[in-house]
Amino acid sequence: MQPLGAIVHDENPYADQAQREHALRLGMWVFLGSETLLFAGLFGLYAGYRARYPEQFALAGMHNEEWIGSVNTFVLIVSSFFAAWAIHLVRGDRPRAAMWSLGAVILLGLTFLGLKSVEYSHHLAEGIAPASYYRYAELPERGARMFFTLYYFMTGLHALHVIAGLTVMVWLITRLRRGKATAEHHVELEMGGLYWHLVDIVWIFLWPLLYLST
Amino acid sequence: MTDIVPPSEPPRPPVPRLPEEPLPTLPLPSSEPDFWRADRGLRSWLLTSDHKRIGILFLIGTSLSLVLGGVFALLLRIELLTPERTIVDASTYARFFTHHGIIMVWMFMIPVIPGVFGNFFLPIMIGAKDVAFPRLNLASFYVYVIGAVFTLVALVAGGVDTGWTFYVPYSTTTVSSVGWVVCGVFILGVSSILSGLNFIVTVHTLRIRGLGWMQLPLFVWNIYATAIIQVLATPVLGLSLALVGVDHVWHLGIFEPQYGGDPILFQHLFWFYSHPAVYIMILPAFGVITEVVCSYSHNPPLSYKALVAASLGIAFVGFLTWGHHMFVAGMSTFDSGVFGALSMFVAIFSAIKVFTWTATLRGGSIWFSTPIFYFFGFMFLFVFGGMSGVAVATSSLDVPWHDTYFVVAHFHFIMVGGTLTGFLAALHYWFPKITGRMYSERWGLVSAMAVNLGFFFTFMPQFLLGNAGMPRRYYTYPPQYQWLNVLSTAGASILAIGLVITVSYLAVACWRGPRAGKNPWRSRCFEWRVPSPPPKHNFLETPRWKSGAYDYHAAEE
Amino acid sequence: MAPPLSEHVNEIGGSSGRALAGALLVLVVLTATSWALANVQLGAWNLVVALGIAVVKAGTVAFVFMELSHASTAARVVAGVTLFFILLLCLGIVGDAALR
Repeated sequence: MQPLGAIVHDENPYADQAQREHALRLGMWVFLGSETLLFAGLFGLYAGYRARYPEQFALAGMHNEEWIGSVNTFVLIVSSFFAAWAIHLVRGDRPRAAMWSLGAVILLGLTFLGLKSVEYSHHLAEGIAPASYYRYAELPERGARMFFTLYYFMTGLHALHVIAGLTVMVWLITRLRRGKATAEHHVELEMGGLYWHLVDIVWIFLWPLLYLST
Repeated sequence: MTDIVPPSEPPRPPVPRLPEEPLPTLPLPSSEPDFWRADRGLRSWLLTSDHKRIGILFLIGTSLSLVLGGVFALLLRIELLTPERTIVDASTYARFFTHHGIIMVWMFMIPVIPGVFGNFFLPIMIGAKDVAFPRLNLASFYVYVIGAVFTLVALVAGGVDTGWTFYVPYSTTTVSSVGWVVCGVFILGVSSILSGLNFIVTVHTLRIRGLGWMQLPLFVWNIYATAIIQVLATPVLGLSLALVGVDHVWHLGIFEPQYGGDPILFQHLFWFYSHPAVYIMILPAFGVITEVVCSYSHNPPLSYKALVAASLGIAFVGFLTWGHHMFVAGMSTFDSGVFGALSMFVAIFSAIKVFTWTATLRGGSIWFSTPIFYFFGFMFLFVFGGMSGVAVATSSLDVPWHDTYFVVAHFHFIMVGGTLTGFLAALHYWFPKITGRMYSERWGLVSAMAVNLGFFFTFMPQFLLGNAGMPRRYYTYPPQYQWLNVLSTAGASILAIGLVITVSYLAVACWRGPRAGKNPWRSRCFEWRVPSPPPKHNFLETPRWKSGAYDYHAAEE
Repeated sequence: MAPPLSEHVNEIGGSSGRALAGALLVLVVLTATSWALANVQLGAWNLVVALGIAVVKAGTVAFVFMELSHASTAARVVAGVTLFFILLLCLGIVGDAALR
């Protein structure tokens, strides 16, 4: 009678580390699929309202400060690079360098949030607020109001995810400091990276929809 | 077929370990107490990571929800005994049917079979010790509880009167506890997503060596298909309800016409989830039915592949049909046409299952007992309900039937006649495995008759009422509809009595029932190869399965 | 040689340092291109071009940064199905809003 695998630790049903890591990676992808569908509803609403108010959406989009949106796009892309680079460093047995790479992600993420706050404050100062609070006289039409309401919801939900992602990054840096990630075993780093890349991908689509109007 | 067993080989070289997380090897004792007795005390239950105990926790939660949802149903049926006011005013009546729907859908039907039987049996059926993420599993239960608490707070805070569908603009403007309830349902949705995620990863990664996808018990396939829907559809519900909540509380209206919003877009988001949600409710019941049919006819399914394909087909095509709830909402005729056509496809897969189950009985050695009685009830009720679904999916026919009792009867035939029947069948089928005891077959058949008859008399009159023009959610009605309403209420009482009887004899059997052996039904499926009740880690020794889950033609082990 | 314990055979390797740097370059260039094209009047095509570039960028992030090309089949199916459902939802809504 063979003993049942190598794991008897109560909470661990796995036979080995490789199996556990495979499960965690797949679990993360499934979770990301779920998170993406959360944004999908807002993209769907955007598509529907844009179909109804094409000109007003274009006009309202032009009012968004393109430079802030575009700089933010670069910021997130570079931060995504640093998140992936950190994993590359860990695999090359350079955990300290990986910590700095993750630190760069956090710095860039905070930059993103900072620019976003500046942008929001500009909008609010002009009276651009969601739905019933909208007071922007220069674009009084309903389509413009809907555009900005969607803008707040979409970038707001995205910003919440950025904040969550930054929290994950801090936790990952702590793990690296405690030596809990090795060149062979760093699945948590991979998982955190995947989440951050999704945040980047969502913004890659938000940017043209909300900022690049002619 | 090849043995489903890990090959015996010399001990593997040590696996690299993460520091602070040692993975020690310990031999298991040769005999183990069952999972009920393995750890004692309330804490061992409330902090368990054992999927079987979590299944029992879900059983308690969902059963209480069934009772609460049922109480609301009885109250509204009592109100409908007379054409005018019977016991409450219109506003309270609206709260009755709303809470009935919310509790039944999100606190009972969506979580019940996956949460109870999926949790209990899926790992055993694939030869695993537990699910992929046992602590996440426990978390999904507590998230369920928190969601339920928020929903109940909404009740206490005055209740919600929007109907379970929360259509805007009423839901964003009504003076009722919409905020609490959408929080509750959102959280219940999170629980659903976590459960689904866990099951998907479990089936992908923890199947015992040698157990391929096409050797899995069909219950596992159905839970897996359900999990896909849970993970991908539920977020859209979360978003749609969050938007309603945010509008209701802070007037950040994205669906308000006065601000340029379009109420129909809410319905798109809501039904994008809620249509696949009905498949979350029925697919697990399909899984149960498949197991019951095979075990009690002692026959393999006529076509295993057809049943797998049908489950995946339903999960996928179910996402393509949501617009059929919106034929008369003001949606474009283009969409109506597309959704109407696509809705016809999804019925094909259900039909494949129905024919396969029926054909599976042929030539079998049928053991007539409570679960197979529920199967027969299921077949009639589900087929009837399903066909009425194809009827209302025909947009021209839906125009007079929409928002009448015809639709109410249609979905109750499927939901109660399908899911509840499947749940009751599962409860009886797996009762000996879970408790190690047998229930009283005589009482089982009595209550099954009461449930089926009660159900029929509750909901068949509603087809007639709807066809005669009685709208749903109406507090008063013209007197000519009264006798059908009285009949429906009488049926509901019988149904309730049947359920009370069921709970009673099952509870008695838990303590007084005769001991059941490992495999009282002589089933071939994998869960019947472990002791009744199973030990904490499911298997006393590494499973060696020499035959498949439906190998009724092979000699018994 | 015993077969591997689980289905993770093709999760070996990952994006090399050069691949990562190359992807960053591609992303920066595409973003700049998108920004430049947004200032060119193409009418309705502006949106198509901008979203098309976004798709290529997202694909780069997914396949290189997220290592989808080295991920298990299951992960790739998840990604594909997710994408399909987003498109489905958007199409269903637009099919209504635009054609009423």
